[in-house]
Amino acid sequence: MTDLNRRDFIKKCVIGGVAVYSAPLLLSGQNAYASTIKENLKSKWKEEVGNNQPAFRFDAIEKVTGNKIYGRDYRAKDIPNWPDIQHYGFILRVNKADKIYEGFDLSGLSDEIKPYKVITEQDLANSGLKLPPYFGENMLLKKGSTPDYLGHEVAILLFDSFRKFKLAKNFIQFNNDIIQYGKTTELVTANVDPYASWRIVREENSLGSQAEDKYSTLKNGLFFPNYVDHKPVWPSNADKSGNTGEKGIFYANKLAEDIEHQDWLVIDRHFQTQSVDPMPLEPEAFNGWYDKFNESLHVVICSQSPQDFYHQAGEVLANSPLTKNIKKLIVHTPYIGGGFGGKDHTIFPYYGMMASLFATQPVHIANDRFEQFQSGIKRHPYKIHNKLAFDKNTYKIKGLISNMTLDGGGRMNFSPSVTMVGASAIQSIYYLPRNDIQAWCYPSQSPHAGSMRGYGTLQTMPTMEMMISEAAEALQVDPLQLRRINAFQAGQKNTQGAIPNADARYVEMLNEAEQHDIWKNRAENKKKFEKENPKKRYGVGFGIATKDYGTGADAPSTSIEITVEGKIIISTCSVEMGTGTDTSQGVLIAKHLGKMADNVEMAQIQLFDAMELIETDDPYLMSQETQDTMSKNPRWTPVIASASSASKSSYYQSHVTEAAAKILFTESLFPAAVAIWKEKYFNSAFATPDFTNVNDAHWENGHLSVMGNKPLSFELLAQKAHSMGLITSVMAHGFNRWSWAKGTYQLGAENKDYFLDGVAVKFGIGANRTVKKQANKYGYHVLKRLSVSYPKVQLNNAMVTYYTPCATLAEIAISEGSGKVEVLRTHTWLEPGNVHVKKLVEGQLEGGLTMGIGHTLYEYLPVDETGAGNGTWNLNRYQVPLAKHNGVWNMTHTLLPPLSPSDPTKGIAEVVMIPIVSALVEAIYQATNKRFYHLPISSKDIKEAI
Amino acid sequence: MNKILSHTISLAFVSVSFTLSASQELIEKGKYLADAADCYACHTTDDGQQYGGGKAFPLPMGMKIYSTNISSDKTFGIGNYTLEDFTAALREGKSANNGYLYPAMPYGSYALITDDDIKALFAYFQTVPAVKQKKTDNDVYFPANVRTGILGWNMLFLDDKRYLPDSEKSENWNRGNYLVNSFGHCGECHTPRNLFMALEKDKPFQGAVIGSTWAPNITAENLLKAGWGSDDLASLLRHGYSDKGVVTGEMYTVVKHSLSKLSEQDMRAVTGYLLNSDEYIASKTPVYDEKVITHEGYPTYMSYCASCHGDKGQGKPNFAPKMLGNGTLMEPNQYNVVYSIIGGIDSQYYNQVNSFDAMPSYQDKLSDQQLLDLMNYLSASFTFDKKEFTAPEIKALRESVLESLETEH
Amino acid sequence: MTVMNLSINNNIVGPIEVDPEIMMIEFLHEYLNLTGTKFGCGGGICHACVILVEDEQGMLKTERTCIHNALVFNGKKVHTIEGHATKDKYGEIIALHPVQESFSKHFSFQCGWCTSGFMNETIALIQRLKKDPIKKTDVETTIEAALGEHICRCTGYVKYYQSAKDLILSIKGLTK
Repeated sequence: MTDLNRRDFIKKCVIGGVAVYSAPLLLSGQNAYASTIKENLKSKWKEEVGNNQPAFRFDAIEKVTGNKIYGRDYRAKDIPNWPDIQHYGFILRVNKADKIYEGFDLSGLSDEIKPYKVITEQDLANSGLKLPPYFGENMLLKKGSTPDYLGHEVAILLFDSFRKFKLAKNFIQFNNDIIQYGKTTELVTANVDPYASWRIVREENSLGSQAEDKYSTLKNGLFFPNYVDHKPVWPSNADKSGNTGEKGIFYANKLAEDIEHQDWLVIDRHFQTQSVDPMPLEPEAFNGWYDKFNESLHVVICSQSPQDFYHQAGEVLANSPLTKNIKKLIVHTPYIGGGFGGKDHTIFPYYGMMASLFATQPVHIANDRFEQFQSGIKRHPYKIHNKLAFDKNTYKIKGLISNMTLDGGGRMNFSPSVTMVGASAIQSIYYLPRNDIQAWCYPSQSPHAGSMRGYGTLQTMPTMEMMISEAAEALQVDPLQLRRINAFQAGQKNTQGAIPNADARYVEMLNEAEQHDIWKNRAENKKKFEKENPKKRYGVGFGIATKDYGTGADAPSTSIEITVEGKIIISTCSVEMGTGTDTSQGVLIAKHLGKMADNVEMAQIQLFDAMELIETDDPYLMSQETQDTMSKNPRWTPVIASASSASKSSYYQSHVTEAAAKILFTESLFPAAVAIWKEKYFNSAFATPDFTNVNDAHWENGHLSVMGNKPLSFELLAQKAHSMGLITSVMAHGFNRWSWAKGTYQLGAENKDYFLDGVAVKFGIGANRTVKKQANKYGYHVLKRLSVSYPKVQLNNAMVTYYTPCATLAEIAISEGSGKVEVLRTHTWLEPGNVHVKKLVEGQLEGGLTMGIGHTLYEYLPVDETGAGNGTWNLNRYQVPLAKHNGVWNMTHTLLPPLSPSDPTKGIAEVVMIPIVSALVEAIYQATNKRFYHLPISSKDIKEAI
Repeated sequence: MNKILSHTISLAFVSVSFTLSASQELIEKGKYLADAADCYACHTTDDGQQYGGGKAFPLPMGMKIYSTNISSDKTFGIGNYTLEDFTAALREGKSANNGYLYPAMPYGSYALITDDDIKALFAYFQTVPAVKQKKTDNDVYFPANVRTGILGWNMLFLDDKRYLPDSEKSENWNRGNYLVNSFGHCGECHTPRNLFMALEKDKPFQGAVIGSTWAPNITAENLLKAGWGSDDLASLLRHGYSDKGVVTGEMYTVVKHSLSKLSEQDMRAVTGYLLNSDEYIASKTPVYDEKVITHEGYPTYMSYCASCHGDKGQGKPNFAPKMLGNGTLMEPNQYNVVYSIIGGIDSQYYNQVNSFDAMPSYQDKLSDQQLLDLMNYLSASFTFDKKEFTAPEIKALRESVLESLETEH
Repeated sequence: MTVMNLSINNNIVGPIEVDPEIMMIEFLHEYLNLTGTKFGCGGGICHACVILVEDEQGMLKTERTCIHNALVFNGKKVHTIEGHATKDKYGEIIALHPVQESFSKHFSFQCGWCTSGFMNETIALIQRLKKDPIKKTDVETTIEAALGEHICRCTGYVKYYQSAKDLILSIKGLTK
């Protein structure tokens, strides 16, 4: 076995003595039947169809031909330098959380199929191995203790053949005689404090929204409760001129009093949402090999957040005596078969990693669907109590009081931020002059809840819509009119007191919806339909939502390289989970570089070390002072890398990709073109060229032209740029805290401003030796950052400011006998800003809407001991929406055209599933005259209501 | 003025709700009993409103009869019924709207219902939402269209007597007997019928062909022989699912709409009566013998069955039933086993936490020999008595299953 | 243990010894390293794992590989997602199957985990329609019946169904 080849693995970072490497997608074709793809077929994806639209997804051919591209596909023999032998692991989990765990008994397994190693808590303790602190304690449950949650892991069983694994699993999986339980106890989580509590209080200035708020989170900061009996108790002292908390309570109390006593219409309602599994069709899997000889640990993970894994895993290894000899951790991050948040900061790879440390050969651990339900990340169930007040004359919203509690499950994952984002999102598209929103998240015995699609907003925002619909009825005002009256206007402040970026085009959407057949003719359509279908009831519902995208500490990196042959290779840190990030990044550069990318490498992390960036503090918690001091260091950034989640790639990743492309164009391709024109097509000896303004240049059919000069092909320009020794590779890093960091860089003799906080470049092959010698060890020249301005840390209190609006009209029929809902037609309006790839946006929209239907009508997991944690859940019980459920032939949409070509390319992946929720609830009401306040609304619920 | 008015209205409300609450209990009781009697199953179509009737019941020779509207609608339903009309319909099959009812209406069983319970049922049916739906005309011809013919049938076979408790037996057993034989009308399917389609009362619960399935023998003797315990039976009747197997076909709807709603106490009574015991009876399971892997049917079982039902017949909880000790495998008549394998089982949806995907049909996959081997394997590995089947027996069963599948489609 | 011999994508596979507990999908993955067929639910519900079995007349039928063991396919001719494209003599893929092309053009899938199942089902459907053409007005219901049990979590089925519809209407002889 040879040592790692530096060409294959590039060093990422050193954490406590362990060097972490990320490995590119590598396939050793000789063992697989899957074939390589002929170059000219592979490049077919970027054949332009229509306006800068690719023919296929970048990864389409791999996906339709069954190539090994997913994490779960990898076997030891596929990976270069690994042994060919594959071992298998099985994770043993409890299915009770209210009894003492007394151990397990594998004596029923015949000798022939016994595991060769059983890893228990004792093994981990002996080796000082622990979960990263993010995930908490008790990686494997200790004998004699009560499980923290249903599905708590107790052991990892290792088998040296698939056959043994399979036979043993058949025996163990549903066998109640394996795990032994002792006496019944209280649930562990009964004695654990809430995972998070937030309170968002705001009162606008009496002069209106434009003036400074009387009180808001952005202006005054946050305050927190004490925990008594594991429940939040907020400060009781109200004082208008007191500290943040006392002031906050003062304004909160005042709002409560007014809602109680003023002559307002108050919609006072309780809502409840369920536990949902993201059900990515690829269940989580892992492969790993501890190469003792070379002191290396190799792993293949299915993760949306590999960056995070690098760091946390490195730390785990560095802190254990067993792994003190491990010098290198090599991480493969392939494509994933769906994420929806279910693979963001997942605990699963750590179990795999532990298994690898004790296995004698590479070990594969792959959840089946029962196991995925039992252990995978869930969506937080909510209980929400809202009081929404309206002025009876103007129909304007006067204020909102909301109280929400979330079930975070047995391990804390993203609960604190989900709690916050859900709370900050409840206002939806409406302007609220006053609000008091409280939210807290409690632990429970359920599987842990985390970053699932919607991130809390799917649960909270539809409640606003439902109340608006109800209020319209009570006030006897047209429901769309009531929405128009209260819709957010550009420049108004959100519940946190921050001003959302970009124009709010809600009214435009409402106006369009009003003219749509489903809405405009709903009364006649109902009459007609019910006459033709006497046993069915017809209903129409409208829902609108606006969803933030981003996390407030987003740090994308992109590198674009031009080869001398004229190929473009893009590398980004995003993970491709299906949303088409690879495609959109490959496409969007065409605007600046004249053609789409030839190759797009995803999940690259180590590559970006070339920018030599360092990070020091938590970007959410650091002080302004820290930021000011640290930003003087030209290599410092608040965050080096962030996860692929939060509907991020189309905006954040694109920002840096586009910035890098622009630099390449301005600094390299255009000067190369000017040089060629000057040399060959202009009387340079006699005149000064008048075609040197970069803004005049245009790409046409892959050729660059300016002011009628001969169009030059990209390939020619690439060659020229290389021969002139111009920049041929640009690597860029950005930081966004609801606004981009802006840096001034020294580029040659000039100073350039970019909305980037790190830039490194490579020069072409013709660059002189002195220049080349100045390159760092990665072969890059880091541009000197002369100064940088980061958004103020106080913007953290804004929580979110980037929003994408979306509205859906749903037309449904309900069968009187069964209560079954049939979606007849839907029409959705989405304001995506500028669109990279239209079909990707449409696919997201159609898929999101369908997932929203699942959330509203079908998907359900109990939160007690009969829920997913008991290991007996599969798709026979968990109904995900099928084509027969979503009106598949009649799903239409309008993508609002951008206001200008400079509109952002917005994140849309989450918002598209939200408005359908309240649209369906309202449509059910219109059909049955019964309002529902819980999800999902089952056919049984409806039947009973009819 | 407004204030005074609203005050009066709320007072009126109080008084109304006061009188309501007195009868509310009766209505609630009636609703519970209507569920126990599974009125829903016959008087509601798949896409129609509750109790609107109109569900078709095929008769021989292509004839069809349709259930009546029993909602509170005064024109189309039974909103105009008096208690006496209602009682006559229930006990004698005499409908104030439709003349004599066909004996598809189990008035022979309902005749056992006590006066008090009938009052409760009546009270409830007066409150169910009115459905404006006309009765579909029965599609029958002579002599079946002569409803007075039913009168003669009634005189011959109808035993219009209330339930008489057996003083030798416990209260629990008597309650079970009453529920099973009156509301439950279990015998209507599980007791064989004579040439005139009347129940053979000397063979109670011994099993009968019903539609395309076999309503199994549910005599206590047979249940106990097959190892049924109190918990299994209760679980089966409540969830359609148990350690001893699942329900299929018509019984699925019976569980879904009726039995799943029985109170704990009544469920105990029903299982106590069916197992003929006041004691808790533990489930019995045969011991799996590893030696069966040499059986000719083993490869077939492993090929098609094992992934869901377990390589040792252990099943997967909430997903696919156990084969080891499965009650259907131990039923004297193996028709349902062959039916499940050859015809498959439709998916079942009870509720959000209890539903099953369809079992595929293996008609195209199994030769007669493979089916025979499989049947013998199932018996040899998962039952107590390990019966051996012959080729003609299984072939005959397969043919009769195919025949009834044909008529179904 | 039984000795398996079968044809996969027109390649002879075997003899290989296989235990009766091994499901077909496990055989493909762990014994043959053919991982293009995807595991979704393991219970025959999501249909991600269907492959094509060719009968003596050359007709293709889909089978779920997670609920049938490998032995079911002993002696059979089967086709998986890896076998549909055209390859040159070096084994490099040079052209796509019309269904592969159509799904790609329509952006039918995102993550692609359900693609193999949808593709095999659509290939079988198109072959069936070649033999028994349907009326143009029945195209939608025919697609619903054929693809209706397949689960897709990303794109809401719309672009799969549109792709199948376009394909059926554009290939001569499938509709009458």
